[in-house]
Amino acid sequence: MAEQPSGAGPADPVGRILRGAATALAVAGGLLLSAIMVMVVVSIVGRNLAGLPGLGWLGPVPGDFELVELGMAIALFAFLPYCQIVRGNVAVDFFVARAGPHTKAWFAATGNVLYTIIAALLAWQLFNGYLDRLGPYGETTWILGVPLKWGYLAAFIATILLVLVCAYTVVRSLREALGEGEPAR
Amino acid sequence: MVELGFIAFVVLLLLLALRIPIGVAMLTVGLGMYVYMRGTGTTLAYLKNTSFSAFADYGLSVVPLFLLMGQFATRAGMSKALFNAANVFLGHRRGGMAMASVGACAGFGAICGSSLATAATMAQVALPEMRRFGYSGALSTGTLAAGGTLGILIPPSVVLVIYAILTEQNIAKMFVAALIPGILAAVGYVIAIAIYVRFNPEAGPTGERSGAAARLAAIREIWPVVGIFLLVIGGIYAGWFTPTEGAAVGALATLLLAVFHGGMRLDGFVDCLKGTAEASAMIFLIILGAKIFNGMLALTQMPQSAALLIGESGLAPLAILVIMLLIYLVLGCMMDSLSMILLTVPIFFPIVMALDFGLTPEETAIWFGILALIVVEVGLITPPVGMNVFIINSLARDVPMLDSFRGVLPFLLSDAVRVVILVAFPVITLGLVGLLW
Repeated sequence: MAEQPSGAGPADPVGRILRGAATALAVAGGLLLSAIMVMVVVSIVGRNLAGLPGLGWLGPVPGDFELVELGMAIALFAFLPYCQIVRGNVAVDFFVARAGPHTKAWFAATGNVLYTIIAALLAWQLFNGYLDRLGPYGETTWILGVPLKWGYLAAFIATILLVLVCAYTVVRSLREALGEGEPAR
Repeated sequence: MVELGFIAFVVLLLLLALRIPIGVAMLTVGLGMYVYMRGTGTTLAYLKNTSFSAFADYGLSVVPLFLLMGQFATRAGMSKALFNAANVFLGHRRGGMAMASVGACAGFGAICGSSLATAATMAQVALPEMRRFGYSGALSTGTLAAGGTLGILIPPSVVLVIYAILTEQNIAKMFVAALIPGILAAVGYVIAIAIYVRFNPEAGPTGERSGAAARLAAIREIWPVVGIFLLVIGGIYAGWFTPTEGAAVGALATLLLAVFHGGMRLDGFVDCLKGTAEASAMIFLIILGAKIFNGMLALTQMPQSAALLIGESGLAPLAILVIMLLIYLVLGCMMDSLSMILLTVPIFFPIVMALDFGLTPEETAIWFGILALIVVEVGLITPPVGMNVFIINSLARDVPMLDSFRGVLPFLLSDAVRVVILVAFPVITLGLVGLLW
């Protein structure tokens, strides 16, 4: 919800930079999502008008399905770092609801370490996926022939930021565990 | 191998209990068990082939678009019009303003697929109004928390979309099937309010009666909501466009409404993008986690064994269904609905499909989906982590949390009655689907 800021902004310079980068990437992903939205509507309109007399030259956007898939994947990877830095990933609060802010911060640190490892593996494998699709015979989309390596490369770059953000959140939660505890949400 | 599946579940629940984010916990256990069973090389290759394709999925692309639509909807300035339209008809009754809030929540749910957003948006308009007219804190917060759950029941619904994709059901049929139970829910809540104020007349005083002219004018104000709902759901049903395309049309229409009716400017638009980014990333991390976890689980053959075991247990199909719904009810007190669906459907769905309810497989799948959706949504308004109640309570600072949870009670009773009715009469859920297809 827009009315609810997800946690206070970080005070340290590294946190500010990472949060700024993650926000910029998320907004860029959001613009890509909006572009997909417009493209899809244009495609529907073109498809439906094509049946009218004199408008036969119109039609759906060629390869609209594959553009949705490719664009959506890139946008979603671009969203991941932002969600992590604003503490947006949902967890089960039930069992630790009564734990103190320090205990909670230790659990958060554990989760963030796990996510950092997973994000690193993800980045590594996305890069491998990119390498797999290099060369003149690399995999492309069906209709437009867009090389899929670009999708993997974009996802890889976003995941690099995710790794940095995750590593930062480990430090952040450790600092909270040793300091004043996790801020109340 | 089957034991490994159970071990995986126990470890997963342990991680969840330690408040490890759900998607991260699923990925950790899924990848860990995969390494144990198939080795590191295969696991990494699995991750390579699954991660990008999990996000580049045409069917799932409906989810971020519906989330974007929901974000725009919260800024479309329609919440006041919806509340007014319901209030001119119901406000003069005892508890009428609470009934109007339920109606407005149902209307808002028709362009927003998220419960929390529905509850929070409607509360901003309805809460101050109810408090101004002397409605009790318990009734006003309870009404809005419960009314919010209509957001996900009345199509479009994000959780329903994910259930449909997971079980390979037709999204349009799932939406149509949810319609009557959604309306039934709204009616049930109105009845709950009527009974509640009969015993507590001071909780919901009467308001002014409106004339025919005012009623007509108020109804005219909400035409954009009706139009967008009919366009999106009707278009998907009529086959004009796919669910993803319908979501894109709905998002664009709601964007225009937010700009021209809600007065949204660039900063509001950017906030919408950020909100969509956060919600989408949260959901897709869980989707990726569930994909990896369930892929691992399939290797252990635990879901098939469980289905076989329960099929041979000799329990009546209805008893097994009730047990599952009770499990959802208990889990719902701790987890969010989407994670629950992603976590349990791979196990529960084969079990349900193996049972004989005298329905076709497709009917069983639709019916079970709607029932599961309703039951998991109840978790949003039950203690200890009723997210809807928390959100509403944070907007009504003067109402103690205990009052809010007490205020939700009549609605929980209404939910229980409705689930029993829907279980007893599958035709209520399936009738419209049968009629339209």
